[in-house]
Amino acid sequence: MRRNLLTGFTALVVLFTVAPLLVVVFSSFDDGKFFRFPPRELSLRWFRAAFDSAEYRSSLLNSTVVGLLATAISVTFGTAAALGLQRSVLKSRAVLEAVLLAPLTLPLVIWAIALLQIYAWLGIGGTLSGLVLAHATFTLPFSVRVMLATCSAIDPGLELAARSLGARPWQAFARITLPLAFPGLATSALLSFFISFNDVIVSTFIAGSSWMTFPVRLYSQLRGQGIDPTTLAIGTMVIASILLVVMLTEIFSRRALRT
Amino acid sequence: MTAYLTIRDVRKSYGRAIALNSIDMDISRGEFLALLGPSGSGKTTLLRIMAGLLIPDRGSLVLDGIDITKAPAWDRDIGLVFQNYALFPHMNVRRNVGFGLDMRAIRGAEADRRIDEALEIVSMRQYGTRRPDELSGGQQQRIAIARAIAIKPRLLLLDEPLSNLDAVLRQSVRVELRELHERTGLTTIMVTHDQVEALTVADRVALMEKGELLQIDSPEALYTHPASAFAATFLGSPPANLIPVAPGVARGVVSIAGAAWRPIGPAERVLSDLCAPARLALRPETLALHLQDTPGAISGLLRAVEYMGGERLAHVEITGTSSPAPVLLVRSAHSLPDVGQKVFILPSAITGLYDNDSGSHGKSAPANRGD
Repeated sequence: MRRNLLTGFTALVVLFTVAPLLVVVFSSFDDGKFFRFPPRELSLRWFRAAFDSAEYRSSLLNSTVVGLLATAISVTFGTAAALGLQRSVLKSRAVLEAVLLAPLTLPLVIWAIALLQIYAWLGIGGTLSGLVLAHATFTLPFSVRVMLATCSAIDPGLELAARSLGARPWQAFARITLPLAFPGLATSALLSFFISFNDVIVSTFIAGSSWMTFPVRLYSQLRGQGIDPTTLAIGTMVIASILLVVMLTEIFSRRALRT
Repeated sequence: MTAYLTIRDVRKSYGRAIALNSIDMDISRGEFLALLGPSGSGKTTLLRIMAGLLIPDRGSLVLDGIDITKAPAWDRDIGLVFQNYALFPHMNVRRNVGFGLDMRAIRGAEADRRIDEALEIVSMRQYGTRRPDELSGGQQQRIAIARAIAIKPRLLLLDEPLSNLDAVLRQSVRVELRELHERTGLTTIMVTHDQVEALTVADRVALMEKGELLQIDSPEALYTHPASAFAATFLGSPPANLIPVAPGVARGVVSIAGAAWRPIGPAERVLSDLCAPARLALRPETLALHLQDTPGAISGLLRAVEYMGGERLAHVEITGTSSPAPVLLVRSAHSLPDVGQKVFILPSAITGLYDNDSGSHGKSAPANRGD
């Protein structure tokens, strides 16, 4: 009885979570000129339209480039920060951890206004580097969190054991710590990328028109002309690629941990 | 015999805390040495210095004629078995054991042969494809040992090898460690805080306390002739009784707990020229309990009896003027009188006599007594 109840609950939660995705995916294959659900006639016309639209192509490219660069920065610095926090016996660890999580506590709008001021002063407002930096600042807390959890789970004695067996420090790191940290690295990279990829607020403030990202383009489209079914087709493709990446990460994580 | 491993004046501090204070040690080829001491005695620090995971502030280590003081861990060819085994969780047993060989560019058939050989030594040949988390604690330890000996180390270091095993396993692993040592002939150094482990397995025991090497001796010499009050009370279970004594009013009389005691036999020889207050170490099994007054006996009151199966442990309060009265533990195989009776304790041997002022280092008895 209780098990049935729990199973029902889980099913409900899953349904609530994926329902919007299902709406987007099904509607994207509809032939109608407007967004409607459920779809009535199947066609790929909106997918074609998506590939034909230079605006969408360039905004998707922008988002991808910004996302990848922000991810690279946030994973690298997040890992370094986590290693530093974990390995050195820092008395201020708790304070530092809190500081690194600060961006999560502020509404993004306030964060974005502050960044805008700083970047204008630095002269990088509206530039790609400004946008990437801005994204990295609010993806970093997630990377640090994930990497802290990952690094604390790895016994530092393993690297020492590797050294006593003849591994130089970099070999010990590459052969022992890196494979064990891979799932954490992948998780923090995925989180960082998706958070950056989905951001509207900070992107609008920092580089509203010069480096228009995909969500910003969608939002302005929505406000201008209402829902364009092309966005649904793009949404479907984004969902498909995310699923693919998550699955690949899972496979590679397992491989890293099973040699 | 020239030493295989020579340790000279090794010191290590962490900030103001001194972990090791001028350690000198000579270890022979093929020897099994135990570093014994309570936690914080510096024994693990010394092991890590030998392994190259720590660099000493001062001093030198010479292994087989080569100074290795500054050699990094990966250049030492020293096998180290960690207390928690530190097996690589993402590698199966064979890859764990083969890791050191891989680092030495030994691969293929030669590596396979040596992995088999190492697994054979620890009787784990059939577990090659298992992963560490699929093994019991005892099996993990065997793999950790196999991994360390696969590189044919010049020295095998064991960090608290029995501490993570249950009591039943501990006894058999003690025997196995000894057999492993006989089979491989490796010079082995084991860190332990467990005296039974040190006394049963090692050829020699190095007793450490507060960063100092107190005594290095065969297990029997360490037990029967502890060079310090610390050694006398650290070894043995229960440990030696440590009773304050002082010169008596007349020749041949010793003041013990304020009462006069006239020792005879070995005790008399040890105590004959006592000229200042000191501490006398008496092992519980060297004391005999009598119901009638006997020449050379210390009189006391039976306070409690602990029944321990094969033997009994009597708590005897020495009759005298000191308060609280010192208590002697006496081990007895026979049944004991009722609690509250007057009893007489006759020592058949003296474990040690130690100065009060020089701290733990004192006169050792009976060999080099008298200064």
